[in-house]
Amino acid sequence: MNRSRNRKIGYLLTIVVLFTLMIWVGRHLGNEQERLQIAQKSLGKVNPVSGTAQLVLGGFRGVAVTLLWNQVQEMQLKGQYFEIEPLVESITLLQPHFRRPWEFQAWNIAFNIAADWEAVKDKYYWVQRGIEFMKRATDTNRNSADLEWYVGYMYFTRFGQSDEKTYFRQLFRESDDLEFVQAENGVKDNFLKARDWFVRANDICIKANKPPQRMSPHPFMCRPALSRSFYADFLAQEGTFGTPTSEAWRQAYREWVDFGLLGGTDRRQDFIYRLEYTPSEREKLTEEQKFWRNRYQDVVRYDFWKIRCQTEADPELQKAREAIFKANDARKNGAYAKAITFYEEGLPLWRKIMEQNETYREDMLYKEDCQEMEDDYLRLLAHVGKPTPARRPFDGIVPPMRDSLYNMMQEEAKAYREQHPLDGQTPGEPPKAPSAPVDSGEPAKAPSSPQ
Amino acid sequence: MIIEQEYPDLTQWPILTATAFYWVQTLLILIFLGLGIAIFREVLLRFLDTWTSGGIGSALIDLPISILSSLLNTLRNLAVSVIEVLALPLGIRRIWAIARLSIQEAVRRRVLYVLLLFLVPFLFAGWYLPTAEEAQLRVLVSFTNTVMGWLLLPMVLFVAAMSIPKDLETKTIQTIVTKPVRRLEFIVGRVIGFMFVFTFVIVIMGGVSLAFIYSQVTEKVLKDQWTARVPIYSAPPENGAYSFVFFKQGVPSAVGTNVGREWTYRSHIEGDTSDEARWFFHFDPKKFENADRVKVGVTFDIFKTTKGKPTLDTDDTSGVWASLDFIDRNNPENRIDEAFRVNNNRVTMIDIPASVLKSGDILVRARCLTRNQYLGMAKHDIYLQANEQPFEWNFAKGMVSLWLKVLFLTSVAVAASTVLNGFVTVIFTVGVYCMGIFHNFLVQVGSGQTLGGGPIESAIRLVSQMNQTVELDPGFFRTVAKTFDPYLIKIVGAVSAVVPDLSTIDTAEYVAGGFDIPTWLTLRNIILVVGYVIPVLIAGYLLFRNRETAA
Amino acid sequence: MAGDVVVEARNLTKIYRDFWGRKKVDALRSLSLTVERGEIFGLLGPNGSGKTTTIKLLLGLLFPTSGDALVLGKNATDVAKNELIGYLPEESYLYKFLSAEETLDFYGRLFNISRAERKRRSAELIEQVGLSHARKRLVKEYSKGMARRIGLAQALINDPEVVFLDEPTSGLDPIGTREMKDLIIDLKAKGKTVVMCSHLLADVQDVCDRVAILHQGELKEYGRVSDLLKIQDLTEVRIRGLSESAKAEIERIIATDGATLESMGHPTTTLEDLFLRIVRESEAHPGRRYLPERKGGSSGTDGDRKTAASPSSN
Repeated sequence: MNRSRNRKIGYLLTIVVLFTLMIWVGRHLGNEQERLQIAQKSLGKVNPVSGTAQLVLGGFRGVAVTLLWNQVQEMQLKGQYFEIEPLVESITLLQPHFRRPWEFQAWNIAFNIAADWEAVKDKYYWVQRGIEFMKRATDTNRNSADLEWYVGYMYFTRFGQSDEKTYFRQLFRESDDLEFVQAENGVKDNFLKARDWFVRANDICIKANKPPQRMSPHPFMCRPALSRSFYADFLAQEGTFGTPTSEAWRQAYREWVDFGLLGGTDRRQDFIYRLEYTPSEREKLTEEQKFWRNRYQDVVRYDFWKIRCQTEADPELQKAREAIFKANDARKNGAYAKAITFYEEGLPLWRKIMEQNETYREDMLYKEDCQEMEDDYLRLLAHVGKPTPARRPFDGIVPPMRDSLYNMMQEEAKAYREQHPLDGQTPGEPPKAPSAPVDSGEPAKAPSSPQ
Repeated sequence: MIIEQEYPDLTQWPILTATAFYWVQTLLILIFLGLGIAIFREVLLRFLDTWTSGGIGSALIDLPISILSSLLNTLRNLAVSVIEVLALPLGIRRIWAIARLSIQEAVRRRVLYVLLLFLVPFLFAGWYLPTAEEAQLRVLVSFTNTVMGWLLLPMVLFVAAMSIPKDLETKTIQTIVTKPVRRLEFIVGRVIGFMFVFTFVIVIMGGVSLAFIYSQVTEKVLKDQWTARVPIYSAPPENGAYSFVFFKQGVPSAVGTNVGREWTYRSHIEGDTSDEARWFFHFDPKKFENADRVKVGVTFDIFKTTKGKPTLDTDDTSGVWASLDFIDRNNPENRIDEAFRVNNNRVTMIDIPASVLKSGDILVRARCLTRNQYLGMAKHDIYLQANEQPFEWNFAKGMVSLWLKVLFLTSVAVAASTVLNGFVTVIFTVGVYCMGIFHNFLVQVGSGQTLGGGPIESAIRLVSQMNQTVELDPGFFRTVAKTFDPYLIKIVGAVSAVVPDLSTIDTAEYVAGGFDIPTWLTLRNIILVVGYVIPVLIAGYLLFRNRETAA
Repeated sequence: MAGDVVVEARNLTKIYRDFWGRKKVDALRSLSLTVERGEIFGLLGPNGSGKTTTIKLLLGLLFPTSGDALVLGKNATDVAKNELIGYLPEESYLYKFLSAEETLDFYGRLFNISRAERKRRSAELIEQVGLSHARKRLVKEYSKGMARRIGLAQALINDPEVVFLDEPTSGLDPIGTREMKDLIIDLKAKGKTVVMCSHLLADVQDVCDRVAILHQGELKEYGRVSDLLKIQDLTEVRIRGLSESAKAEIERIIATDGATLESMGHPTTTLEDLFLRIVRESEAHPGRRYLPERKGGSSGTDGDRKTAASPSSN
């Protein structure tokens, strides 16, 4: 009797102690959640279904997610793509605040599943599903710079850098789903839409004064400027020249400078380094600061982009680009005479720009562009039986395309042989006499026909 | 549609006999196991009692007597049980009384309020339903099926598992078993009563689901997909022959070219070569007697070795081209040739004149026309559309699967609850149900085919996070695993033999895909589950019979 | 009345065990008794004495550890016997979601009674147990007394030959108790056999023909109530209007006879005394059948009575 009473008192005490502890711990956790902004309600939109599902499954949440995940994998193998979506949705309902499942599955839908469809329209549908899935991640996880950035990144790469980009961008422009395609400035363009998301991601970082987790600050934060630059670039590639394109480049320039002015050396060292300095400010930098400034600008090619934006905004260059665009167009359509006229109008303009601009002359991209233009032009002349001009259009600025390719390979082969003198030989034997590898000259010998 | 595994037609006599044998075996295993344990316990207790009161000598002398009397007692019991089982139909009015009671109970205890709960998910359903028309029906059907399952199964579980324990707890059972009700009648009455309630719930839920699906799909889906096509699949031209065969460079082969797809359901043929696939169709010629044109559904996989330029689906270069030859086997002159484009993940419907099918004995040859690309195909990738049934009727047939699952759960729960308390019954039944759903896995474990070894070994790997393919380190744990795992695996194997494979009774895929659920499949499912439920209930009865109903 | 045995227990033993088969309680040890047709038999004992266990063994709700329980010549576990018996459990274990009428209808169905017959009988029984005013109400709304009544009605739905009543009067008010007792006596008048158990001695004494007194699972006393209560060496005199001189005279005569005057006054409930004595005796000497003392004690405060009933006399 006595023992049983003692035991009961013991239980009661334990209950009281545990209960008190629980309340205390609970309150502490609540405060911490508030402080760290990770409370359910401060994380983002709370979905009642999600809450219920989590509550019902309790400790089996992880098991359920694993089962669902496996099921998704299996269904994907069998091509049951439409059924995957609700499953993926369930996974994120159960684990709404894990970043990885969102990103993985968004990517999976927009890239892998889209790739399994043959027609561009179908691919477009799945890319859109993937991006919208990712957008829901940002609803559920407010203030996550990484997730917002990822949405922008998907708009940027999937529509703007894939094989199907021309069709994708066309479908994008033609779409009626304004919420999905229309950027804040009213233009239906994937790069501008991406830019909106990148800007939001940057704002979150700046407001919280916290660097992003995904990658170091510079490549992360240069994205709005980069998107604007790509937008301008694609305008030109798709045949828009003159004022609109110049204006787009000028805006891009301003964004790059804004990006370059962000932060400063007196801020937290690991967050933001300024890239933009006035000459007088630059004087005052220590050697170490200079070193890091140059290093970071290299990562995002800050100086290059700035110059490019400036140059591309130049009406002269717009004129040159337009001429070459028209020339290529005419050449592809078989209007060779017209093409040659356009080339002869555009190439000198280009040459002038190259001559004026040292950065361009050193830039691989521009050099290659020039070589390609020149090559197209020369081969066209040869094709129609016209004499080659005495002086190459870019003589003295870039080497001819075939030469440069051939020489490059020769040099690489030579360097390789020097580094690996005994390659392919048993030790002790004297090294073979160097001979030009047969295949290194191959690409140069195969002329591509002007289409 | 995709049919990965063809099941033997249970309605065929030889197979039915084999299945019946399986049920009898199940029943016998359950009975012998139960009785064996009971006899052992009784003898052991008596032995220990005699030992404490009269010393080991008298206990040993008593032992044979006690075994004999236990055995005789059990046999007498069994004989009575057999009579009671056979006499079950005589108690039909008592069974109905119990069933009626169960229905009244469910109604008066407001169990049916779960139907209101059922409506909740539909409020949120609109959130993540796809916009693509070809996805709507699929996702909606799987959505409603999931919702129905998730709401119904727990309800079933609790209602069925708690009833007998509750009768025992409130002792109402005492006024029942002192009436001339046989305990088997009581169990069967309970199950029947519950099934009436659950059937009602399923009908309501199914109706609401159907209305919901109907309201959600677009016009176009209603026009194109709101149907249940009755397909004719290929069949062996003569006994022992293949119904579907590949020809690689003129040589027949069971499989085509392996292009490295992880899912090996389809096998591929190369484009612009002599490779081909052949299907043989054998059907009643009267089927298409009155038809003018016949629809043929084709689902091929395309595998491209060169990506080519991106295409819009209207481009000629989009997809891969295939040709189908329909040849009357009795009159090879009577043939027709169809070329069409295959885009991935889509069914292509082609329209052929019915005249080519009039003999009911058809050969179909498929070839890939696009050079360097491959077409993947499987036996069920081509079908002739014989008929169309209403979607609603097919949906109702699909509900049978759910109903059978409910029947299974109810019976297992009721049978188990005769000896276990309510909560344990719930866990036990969930366990059995999961084993039924993951039956394949169970069989794999039971036959020692799983990667990472038996249960103990796997547990060690789980805890130590060790790779599944690396041998365990020698030591204590390895010894334990290697010693006991073989036995555990045998036990799992035995369990897998007495649990039915529930994963095979799902027919949602048919409904969602717009294919008529074959009658033989429904019959097979019914036979499978009902045939399983009978031994389970008999086992439950034997357990209940030997249970004291008062404490 | 003699000879026609309807209920019989032979060496009935019940040991309760826990899950592991360890002995928990010896609920009943080697009980042997018979009940004959047409009598009211009472099982008497304090709580936990084994009387309810006995009834449950006789009904087949429990299985004996050893020994046999026979009802109407059939084994207690045989369902066939249930056609002819009725059982009112300790508390009325009824389905609370049914009304009185539905309850009786349900139990009637279990006996395969036809619809018309069910209707007739349930109306009759509801009338008999006095629940006509509440026939449509659900059992869960019933008071305990009403539940007992409907419990009794369901036990009688099949017009049984043997009725087992477990604590029939528990939960009833004095009037209800009286009515219940009348009902029981009425059953006997109709030729039914009644086996009841109770710890309320007055009930048993009032209605039972024979009783068995159990304590700690053992049979302590067994026989006709009249025999058990007859005190052979005790004479009770009840006289109205006796004068003081006559009283002195009587005392003198008693003294002459060598006897002592125990008491004069109102007698107490006799069975209660017997019962208490047995319990006390049994606790002092567990495992022994009650042996009545030959010579009475002299302490009047105890209210002692002596009984002459011995085990062999039955």
